[in-house]
Amino acid sequence: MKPPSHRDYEPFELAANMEEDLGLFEAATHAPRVRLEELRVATVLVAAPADAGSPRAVESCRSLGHAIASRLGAAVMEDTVMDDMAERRVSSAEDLRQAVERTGAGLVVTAVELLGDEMSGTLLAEGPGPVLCLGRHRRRRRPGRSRDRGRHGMLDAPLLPLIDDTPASRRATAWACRLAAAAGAAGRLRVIELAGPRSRAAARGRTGDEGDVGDAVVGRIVSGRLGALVAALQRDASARGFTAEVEFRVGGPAAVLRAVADTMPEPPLVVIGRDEAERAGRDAAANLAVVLLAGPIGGVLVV
Amino acid sequence: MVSLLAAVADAADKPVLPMVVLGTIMTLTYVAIAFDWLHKSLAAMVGAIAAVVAALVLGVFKDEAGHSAYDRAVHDIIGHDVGVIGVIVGTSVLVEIAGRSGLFHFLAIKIVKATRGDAVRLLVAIAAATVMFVTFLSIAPGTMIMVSLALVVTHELKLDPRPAMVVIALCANSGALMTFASGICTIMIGTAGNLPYAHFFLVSTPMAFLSAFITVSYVRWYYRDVIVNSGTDSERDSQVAAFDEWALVKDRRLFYRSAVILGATILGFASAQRLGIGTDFVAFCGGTAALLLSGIHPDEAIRKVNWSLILFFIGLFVIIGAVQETGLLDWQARKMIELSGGDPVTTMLLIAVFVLGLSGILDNIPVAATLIPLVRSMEGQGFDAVPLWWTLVITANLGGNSTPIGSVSSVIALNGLEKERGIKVGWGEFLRVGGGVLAIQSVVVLAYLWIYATFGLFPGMAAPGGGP
Repeated sequence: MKPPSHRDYEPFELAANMEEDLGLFEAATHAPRVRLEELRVATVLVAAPADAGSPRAVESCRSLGHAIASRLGAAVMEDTVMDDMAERRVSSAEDLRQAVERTGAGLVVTAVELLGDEMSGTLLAEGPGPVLCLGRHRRRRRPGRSRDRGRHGMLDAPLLPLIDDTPASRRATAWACRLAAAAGAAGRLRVIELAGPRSRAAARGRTGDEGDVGDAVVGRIVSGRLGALVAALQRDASARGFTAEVEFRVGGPAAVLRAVADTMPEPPLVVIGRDEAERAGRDAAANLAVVLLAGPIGGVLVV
Repeated sequence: MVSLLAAVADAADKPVLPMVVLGTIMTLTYVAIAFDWLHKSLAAMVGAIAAVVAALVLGVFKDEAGHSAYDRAVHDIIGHDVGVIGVIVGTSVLVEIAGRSGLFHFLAIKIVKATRGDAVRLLVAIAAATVMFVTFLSIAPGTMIMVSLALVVTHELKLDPRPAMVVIALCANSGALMTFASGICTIMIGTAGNLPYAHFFLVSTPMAFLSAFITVSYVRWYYRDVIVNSGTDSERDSQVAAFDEWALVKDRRLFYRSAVILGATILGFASAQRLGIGTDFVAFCGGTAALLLSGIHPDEAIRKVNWSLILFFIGLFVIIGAVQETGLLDWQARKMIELSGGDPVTTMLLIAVFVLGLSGILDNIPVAATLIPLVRSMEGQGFDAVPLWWTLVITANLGGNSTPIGSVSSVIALNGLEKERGIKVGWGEFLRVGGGVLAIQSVVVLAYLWIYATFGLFPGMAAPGGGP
């Protein structure tokens, strides 16, 4: 076998960096200016029926609802719905949808321990507007840190997986930025650019390769697709003083979970657009939000 | 081979056969690299093994008792140059992190926006940014960013990308002269000659600016027919103004941290001699600080170190060390001094011409690696080596300008252009433009060196007129 020639090797040992650079500059020169929407949430609805199970989960849910409401400048509504749910034995997302419509809430906060896996999944996938569902994993309480601070820390450091630039992903970006900005300089938004099926297909189209193409080529496509969103969130981070870190990963839900395991010391809050969540999986069943909820994360906010 | 055999007559103090055999191994290794017979790291490693075996068989490595002393010989050779390897490993980690922070990409778009899309201003801005980026990031990463930028921006502005690509390829070699840590060759020679960081600003930095100016002027003249704006001023202006540099930012905090660590490392290089520490230690501190504070997974950054280059160096150092043990390089140094009649300025100019010519056809790293022991040998024979070290710094870097394979920056730029835009700059075109640039630069370099040597302007050199 002929050994690789140095002329093949020398420039292309850094081929991945070159593809990344090209993708970044293409994003910078093509990206349309995106303005993140100003979120206006008047009411946060805490869906935590007292008889639904774990008192600890109810307490967590209420506490988080109050914390997020204070960050969004919203009021909290809980008793009515709790009573309502208790009385009517709420058992479906449809019941909750009706409750949300009645109350006009801009965000529903609940927990998988209270609603169960199936109903939580349905709520995340088809729910009425933004839904924050607490997962089963809790942040470890550190010595000297209050219980609430430990629990609400995930609001300061949300994780935002992005697949395509869509209205839903723009909405998710606006939510994630709003949460991180509320923490001021301590706010730390982690963004994971994910290569979805469309990006992989586009990469194959570019290389003319029918099989798997290199991660670097896919990354270049993804950078181009998400450039406008990244620019918008970084501009927002610069203006409002929080930190935003962007990284690229190939894969669907598993890649997000790997990123969480690799780099996040505590279970994070994952913010995701509803249609993005559906798009992430190779099939409709693999809704990102639902898959993540079963993983080691603190909660999922689907908007 | 003839010259090697001719050495026999003069080299009465050393056995002849080892000189011939090891000199041949070194020559064959360089030929294998130049003609692309083997991957260059592999060629250096094969050459190193052959050199060690030959040296052991021929009794080149002997200790005082006359026994074979592999450890003393080979490990001493590598140990002697371990400082260079340390600087390269440390700066590779730091540069990988700083280069990927987005800071330089962000600045690049800002610079392009300042040109308002005008073709000539863009060419000048690209040249200036290339010199600046290579100064801080070294040749390969700095060139990579600029090539990517130029490919995308010229496409957007409907400009012929060839002038920008050639300017980047050539100006990167000027950037490599700017400071001690701006290029691999510069690091090698600076470390070997123990050249203080601050002295670079007095000798090679002005030459870097001058050579970049020559490049831009010549390239602008050569491609005058294709450097043409498209659209109206206001159309170009609004198109460029819409470029969004924030799309390039991956982590703003990493931006600032990288800039601080890079700045601190440069300060460290500048004060290393005064503090009595090695530049390899400073580079290691910079690399470690980058790993600690960047938030990037250490494995990811360490993987990006150019380990191929490190292996190449180790192989090369072993070959050259073994050749040096035979006395061949001492003989060549003596011949060089004889050829110049013992005149230091003439010797310096001879070396300059030799290196300028050779660096165009051979990777400048082996050229520098071979010339370093030669200069050391001249120093050992009572020659003032300071002008010779600076001659090597300037000529080994600029010498690569003449051919498309003379420097890594040309290889990256021309391959990128062909791969991304399907435009090939052939040998003929490059020889005309790069060769033209190098011809002018050579005249200027020789005059520059002559003035510095004649008027004693090299910092730390002996009084003018001093010879062996």
